Amino acid sequence: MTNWQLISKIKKLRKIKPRKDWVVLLKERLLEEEDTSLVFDWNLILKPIFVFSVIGIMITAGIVFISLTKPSQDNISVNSQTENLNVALKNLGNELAKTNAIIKELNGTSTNIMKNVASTVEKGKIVVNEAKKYPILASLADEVDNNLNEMAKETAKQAIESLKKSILNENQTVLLKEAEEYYNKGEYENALNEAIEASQTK
Amino acid sequence: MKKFKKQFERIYEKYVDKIYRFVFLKVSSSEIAEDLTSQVFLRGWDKFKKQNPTFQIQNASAYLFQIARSEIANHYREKSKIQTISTESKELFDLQLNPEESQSLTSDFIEIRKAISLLPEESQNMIVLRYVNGLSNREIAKILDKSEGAIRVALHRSLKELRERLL
Repeated sequence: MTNWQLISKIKKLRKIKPRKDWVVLLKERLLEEEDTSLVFDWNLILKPIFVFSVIGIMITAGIVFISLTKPSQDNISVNSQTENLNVALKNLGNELAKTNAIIKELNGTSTNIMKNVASTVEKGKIVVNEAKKYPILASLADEVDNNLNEMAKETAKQAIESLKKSILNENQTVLLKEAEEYYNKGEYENALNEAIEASQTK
Repeated sequence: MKKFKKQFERIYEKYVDKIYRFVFLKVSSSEIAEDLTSQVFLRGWDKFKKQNPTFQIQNASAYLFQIARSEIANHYREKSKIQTISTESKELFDLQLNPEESQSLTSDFIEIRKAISLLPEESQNMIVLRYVNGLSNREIAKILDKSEGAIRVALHRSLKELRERLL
């Protein structure tokens, strides 16, 4: 093999390229104004696994919600609707369990993730409350409810820990204290919302 | 600030693929390569902001690759892993190729990556920087803190060793 042939072979590795969407996103994150958040860890936002999980949950939650609010025509469609809901709720539960595992592994959070989680929990609760009206779905709905609570709890915990490590002004300190109080009372959604507020307050 | 951003944007666009490629060849996954590359540019942007206008754009390449090397070293230190060029092929490249092209290219990739991974670390760096990323001997000399002459000689020796590995 000549030097030229060898070098040509090595040059094939030039085909390695990063994902285009990641390149664009990273540039935006790097050069955006720096007043976004005290706890903003933009690395986490760029992780496709997290983005896809949250999108997956939202899509599943949307399907469940549409199915629940759609009026049924007859008994046959009620049965098949319940079956579909059963499958959709199971999927939603699985997605939430996976995302909870990811959130635990992230060991840190960002305002955008917190907002995504808060919105997922809020919409998920609407779905769960609707599903609980159907006795056949009640236990599954409880399971999803637990996953949603777990998601809010873990994210709130990480958000509070991040805020504690940050330099906070007076308003933020008050909000952090409130978030901790909610957390200790087991009101994880409220705790998360206070943490979001604290991370955005100047 | 707007002017600085524009300047750094040009540096980013020029080097993001090269830094990613350099990192990717050293770690085992595209996700880790993305994380480490992000860190490289974050640190680069911090330095650029603080030192502008004294930061010399022509030194950007050396500076970014030096950060990349240090991020890779930190990654392996934290994970207590041995640092080599990754030979995993399963999560390779986002290439738009037909299946035939893709198959032949993938086998070439695996072969050459494996051969490079068997070289000493500094030889790996030189080969990747020179022939994969197309940097000049002068740039490589700055990154590796050696003279251009030493790089020329070492590259010659590394190519010879690589050829033997491929036989």
